[in-house]
Amino acid sequence: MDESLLGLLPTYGLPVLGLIVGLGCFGVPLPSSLAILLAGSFAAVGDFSATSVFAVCLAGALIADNLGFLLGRYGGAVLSRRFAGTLDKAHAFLSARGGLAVFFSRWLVSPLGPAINLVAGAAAMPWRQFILFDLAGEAVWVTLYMAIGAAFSSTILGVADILANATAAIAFAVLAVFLGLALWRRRERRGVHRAA
Amino acid sequence: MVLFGGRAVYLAIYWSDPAHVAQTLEPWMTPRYVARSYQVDLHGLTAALGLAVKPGDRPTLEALARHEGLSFADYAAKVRQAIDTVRAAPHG
Repeated sequence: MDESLLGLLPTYGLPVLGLIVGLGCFGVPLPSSLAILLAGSFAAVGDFSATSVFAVCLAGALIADNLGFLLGRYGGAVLSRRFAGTLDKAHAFLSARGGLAVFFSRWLVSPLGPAINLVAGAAAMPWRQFILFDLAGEAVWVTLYMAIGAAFSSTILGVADILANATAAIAFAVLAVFLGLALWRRRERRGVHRAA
Repeated sequence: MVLFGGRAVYLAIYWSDPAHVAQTLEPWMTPRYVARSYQVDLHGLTAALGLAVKPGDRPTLEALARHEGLSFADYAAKVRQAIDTVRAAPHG
C-alpha cells in the first residue's frame, strides 16, 4: 500500500477513514481493510475513539453497499437486455442463498463484495433482506478488523499483508468451486440431452 | 489461490518471529503508536522528544519532522535515540 495513504488517516482523521472504506466497498481499489486495521490500532493506543471508528466505518460501508445495490437495480434494466441469461442465474443463486452470499462477501470473501452488491440489486433481491445481511456482515467485518488491528498494533503491516493474501486465497477458492460446479452442471445437462 | 494461500502462510511464519515484531519507524506513525510498538512509556517518550501531545492530537512523525525542519530519516534517528533514553531510564 502507498505509505502516503497511511499518513492520511492520523492527519485527516475520521472523514478520510469513512471515504476510504466507502470507496473500497464500492469497488474502487483502495485498501479499506487495511484502513480499518490501522484505525483499530490507532484506537487501541488512544489516537482515536473506538466507538467513532466503528460508527464511521459501518456508515461508510453501508452507504457504499446501498449505492452499489441501487446501481444494480436501476442500471439493471439496461444490463438485463444484454446479460439476461447471467442475471437469471444470479437471481436463482441469490434467491436460494442470497442472504448468505451478501453476508460472507462483506468480510470472509470481501474481494467479491462490490460485485455482489450490483448483482443483488440487478437480481431484484428484496431491499430489506439485503440491508439485514449487509448490516450483519459489515458489522462483523469492521469489528473483526478493528479487533485484529488492536491486538496486533505493533506488527500491523505484517498482519495486514497476511490477511490480504488469506482473503484473496479464499475468494479464489470460492470462485473456483462455483466455476467448477457450473461446468459440471453444464456437462451433466449435455449428458442428459444426449441420453434423451 | 495456492499462491495467495502460500504467501499468507509464509508471512504468518515471518511475522511470528519476535525479531520482526518491532516495526521500523514509518512516516505515518504517531507518538502513541511508537510508544505502543516499542513498548516504552508515552510520557517518557514525548518528554525525551520535547513534545507536548495533547489529548486528541495525533501528529505523524512526518509532520513532526517537518515542524522541526528535519528530514524524516534524521527525525527517525532522533526518535530511536529517545526510545533508547526512555528504556535506559530507571523506571522506563
